[in-house]
Amino acid sequence: MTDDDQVVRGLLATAGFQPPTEEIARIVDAYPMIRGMVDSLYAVEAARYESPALIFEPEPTFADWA
Amino acid sequence: MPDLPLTIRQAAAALRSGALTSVELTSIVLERAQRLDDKLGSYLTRFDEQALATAATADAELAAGVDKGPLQGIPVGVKDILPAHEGPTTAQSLVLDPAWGKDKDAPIVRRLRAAGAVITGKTTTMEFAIGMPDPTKPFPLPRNPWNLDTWPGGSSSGTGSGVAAGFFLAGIGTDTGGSIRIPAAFCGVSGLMPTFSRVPKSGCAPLGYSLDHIGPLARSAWDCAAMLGVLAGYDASDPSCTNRPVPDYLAALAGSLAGTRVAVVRQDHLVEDTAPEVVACFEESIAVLGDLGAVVEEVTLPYYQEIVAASMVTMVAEACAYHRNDLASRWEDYFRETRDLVCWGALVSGADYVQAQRVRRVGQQALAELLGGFDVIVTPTASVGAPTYEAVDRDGILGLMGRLHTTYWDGVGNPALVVPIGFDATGLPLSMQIAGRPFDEVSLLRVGDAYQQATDWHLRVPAWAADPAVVA
Repeated sequence: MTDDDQVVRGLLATAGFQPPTEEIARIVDAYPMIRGMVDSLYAVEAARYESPALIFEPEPTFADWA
Repeated sequence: MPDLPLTIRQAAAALRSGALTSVELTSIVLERAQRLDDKLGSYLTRFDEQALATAATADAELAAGVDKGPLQGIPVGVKDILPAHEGPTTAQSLVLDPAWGKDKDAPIVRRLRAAGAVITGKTTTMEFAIGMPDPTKPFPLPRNPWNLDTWPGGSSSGTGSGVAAGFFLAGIGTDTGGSIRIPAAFCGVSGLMPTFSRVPKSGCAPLGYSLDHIGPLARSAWDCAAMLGVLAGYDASDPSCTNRPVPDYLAALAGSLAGTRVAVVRQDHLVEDTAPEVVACFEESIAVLGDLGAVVEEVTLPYYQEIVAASMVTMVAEACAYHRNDLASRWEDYFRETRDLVCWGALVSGADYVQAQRVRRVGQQALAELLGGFDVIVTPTASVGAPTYEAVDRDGILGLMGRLHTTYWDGVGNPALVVPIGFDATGLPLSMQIAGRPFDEVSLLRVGDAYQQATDWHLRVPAWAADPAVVA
């Protein structure tokens, strides 16, 4: 079992997901690409002192769409 | 039976001149869907009886001099992740609680009704607007009217194929990574992703809360402008919805592009395996814009790969939060590609998600600087035409990701319009994307409309769906 295999299985299990074996293999195959995308985010130097695009409203409007 | 107009603009004129009634128009499109949709898979549910009643009301109101604008009496399809009270909302999923949205209208559906639109039914989607079709599940397999062996694009598949096939004159799609623009491109119609927050998305089954956009697919930029004029505007039920005034989009369509500054993007878009027809059609389209008076200059998009990565991380994290409990208990009930992609959200951390939001801010800032010198940015929408289902089954959505050029714009939130620009060697439609500054949909629509006044790609009808009722 590879490191990626162990990590993916652990994270999926932590989330409560129980894919069959062949589906886990596909997710493991995709994992290096996903981590590559994530790592590219931390390589953006201009983000070092940037605030995230998140807004918390202390007094939100609660309106039901229905 | 009268001839069927292709566009909202033609139909609205015909309804007002007396050349056509809404009941006649609605009957034609419903009959066509009855005849052809078994093969095309555009609809999940049709509302024939209610649609004809609404059409009769539109006719009576127009006859009485009550004019509600260009959508009055126009058949419109709605993607089945938005509730309409006539029927169920499924998100094309076995998982969505049938009680959710039952007997309700989403805010944008209420707006369509108030404008007199005729809701003809609910259209097919990828499950919860993500992934790919799964033929093992009990839902129609959406097909492309230009070639039934190909995928119509997604996730607003049925809306795209239905507009192309003449099942309705316009429809509603949603876009989190390209789900309005990809089916519009693959089906040879126009599609508009408005600025994030321009159209209220409350009442829509979410995919990515900070990425989801609701917008129109229709034949022309003019028709998209007519739709956006009805869909846009504040609604308190969507916490992110803007209360900026809604411009008169139709009044802004001038026809001329004299002095319009157009930035052209080739890097990261005309990639190594780009189909040669994509390059040729895209370059011809740029030449048309130049002939119309635009000033054209090549640029590169700032932080292109990083914004695409930030969008993906954001989408899977937000989707996983929504689906986690259902995925844990009902894994097999989800479509294969849905569960494959949504579970990626468990593979990224909270810190990764926040970092993605910081990078989105960086990208927005750099893009705003670039757009200080241009009115619009144009790119190919995709590097290929619609893939075959054989290729989709073999490669999945990952096999297409580098060839679709829509996700960047969801990540930054800027609006983007796509328009047809020709065909590949096998007769599949190709497309150009026109993006712009936040809340400046007017510039996109003006460029798209001017291009379509000079070309007729948007009026081409698939031979398979053509019949004597079609005016080409």
